[in-house]
Amino acid sequence: MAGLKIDWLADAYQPSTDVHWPDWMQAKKQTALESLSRLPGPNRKLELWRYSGADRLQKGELDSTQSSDHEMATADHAVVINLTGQGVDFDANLPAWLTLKPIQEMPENQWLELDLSPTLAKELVVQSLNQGLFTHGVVVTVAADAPKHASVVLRYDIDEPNQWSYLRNVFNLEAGAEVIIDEQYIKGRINVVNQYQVAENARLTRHQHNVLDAGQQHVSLQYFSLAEKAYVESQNRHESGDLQHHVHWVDFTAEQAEYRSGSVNKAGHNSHIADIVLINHAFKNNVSDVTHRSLADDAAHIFNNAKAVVARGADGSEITQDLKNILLSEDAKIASKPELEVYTDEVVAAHGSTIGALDEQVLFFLRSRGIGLEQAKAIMMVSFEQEAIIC
Amino acid sequence: MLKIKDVYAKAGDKEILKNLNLTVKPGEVHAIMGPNGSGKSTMGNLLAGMPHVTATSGSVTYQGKDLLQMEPEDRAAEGVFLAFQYPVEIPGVNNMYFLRTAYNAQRKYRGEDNLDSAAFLRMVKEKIKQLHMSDDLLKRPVNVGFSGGEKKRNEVFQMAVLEPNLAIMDETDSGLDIDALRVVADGVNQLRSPDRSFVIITHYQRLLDYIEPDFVHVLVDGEIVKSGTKKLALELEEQGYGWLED
Repeated sequence: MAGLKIDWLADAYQPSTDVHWPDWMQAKKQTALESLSRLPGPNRKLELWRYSGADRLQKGELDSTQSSDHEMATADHAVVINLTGQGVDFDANLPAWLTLKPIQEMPENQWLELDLSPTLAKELVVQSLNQGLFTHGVVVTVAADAPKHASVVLRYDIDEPNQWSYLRNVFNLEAGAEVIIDEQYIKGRINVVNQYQVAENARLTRHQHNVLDAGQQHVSLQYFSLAEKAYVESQNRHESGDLQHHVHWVDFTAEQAEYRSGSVNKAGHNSHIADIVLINHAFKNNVSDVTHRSLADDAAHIFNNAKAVVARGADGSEITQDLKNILLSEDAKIASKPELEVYTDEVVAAHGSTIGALDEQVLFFLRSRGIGLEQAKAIMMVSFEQEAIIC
Repeated sequence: MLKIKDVYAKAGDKEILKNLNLTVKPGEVHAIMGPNGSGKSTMGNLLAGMPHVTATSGSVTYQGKDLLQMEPEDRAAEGVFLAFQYPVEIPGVNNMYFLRTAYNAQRKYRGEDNLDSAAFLRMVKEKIKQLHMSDDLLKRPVNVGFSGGEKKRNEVFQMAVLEPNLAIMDETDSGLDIDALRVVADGVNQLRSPDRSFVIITHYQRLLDYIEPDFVHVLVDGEIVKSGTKKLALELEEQGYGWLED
């Protein structure tokens, strides 16, 4: 399908600030675009796009408005970083434990080459576009002496509603560092790639808060690299929007690390949400635990996928995948796919997926206590979501 | 209080209740006994408004109103309470939130104002104390991790808070040891009053040692075939149900 690069470039939003890209970074971006031009655009033949409307990516005008009700409070965060149409905005008085630079000042040795196999390159073509087209972002480094409960919030707040904005951020947690990083979507048509480099014994707590209005779109790739004894807990909330497509990619680069994630996906009207977790257990004795709870109503679509690949020799790996889904209407659709690909002998793994309606016995119990039908349903949905709240 | 007249009812596609007749006056305690599959739980579920349990003929009048025309939540607000045989678990929803929501929903139905959180908390703590239960129950998700006995006690606690006029106890004694049975029975006995009626559904007469019924009825194949006093329960304990099924 020729013409992908030209279509995407034509639609990419250019922020008003001038950015000077170092030569090496400009070369990387150019290489990425050239390789992408050889790939087909996203379509239903791709596994990761089979259940989402890829054609929505190329909608011209989106019917979007901003609703401030969705915003998380930021008062408790030590550092607030706003990624806007004008660039990056943050308070210059940063705490000593945090270093913050614009993405173009990233040292070359920190560049993450997403080493994609040919199959994966096609599947992640939309996220990979970001490699060539990102316009701004930050490199955040957290030192080991960050205080307990140190927190940073990253807000995506771009006024331009129709053209795609490509953002890229890198988070480096030094050995032994602990930090909470919150990402919040405010507005814009955003494609973001976030790299989390979690060094040995470091601990990351992350919240992704994407509550979109019916016309908004948001695509992301969250890449996590965990060193020895690193710990990541990641809480994701994906609600509404015309299109949300999120890939969480996890690489264990040593032993005895843990990755845990909980996702709540709620889609109504004509919303399409894809929540995909790909975990590579390449080393021994690492733990991954993925819990999704998804609710689809009206004519919405949700695609849930949790895939763990356990390499030969990665004995002692422990994997849990728990995907539960509820359909609230006859026209809603959910595709739910836990996957295990295991190439070694000594692994402890459990996976499960259920799709159903709200439990009628529980519904009746609540009504038998005087709670009306709609309120009873709402209580049950909250109860259901709670199972995926891990942090 | 309650008048069940000539009721035939099915659960799903299967006819269970056949020509059921029962009258319960305010303050009375009626025990319903019978063999497995006789329709005891179906009767309780019909009164509470369980979906898929439907009357095909007959009438149920509750405090002068047609009960079968009412939604389950309206029946509850009118004062009908079903203590479940198998209480459900609701993860992530604590007992306090659930009870306050139910309590205020019923008040709203009756045109009363909500009780604020502080007043509600005072009220439930008093009830918990009267029932000799621990108030950490309030913080726990509804029935999650509860033993069988704790679940049944939670049903009694809910009944104490919601103060129904007609309480239907569906095999409350099943799965309970003697001590747990005593605690549940004590809770029920505390709630007895001239304005409150009980329908106690049970297999065994031992519960009736602790909750003294005014009447005992035997349900066989969907119909009450014999009624009597507590002596009838003792006869059933000795002779079984066979002599009545014939």
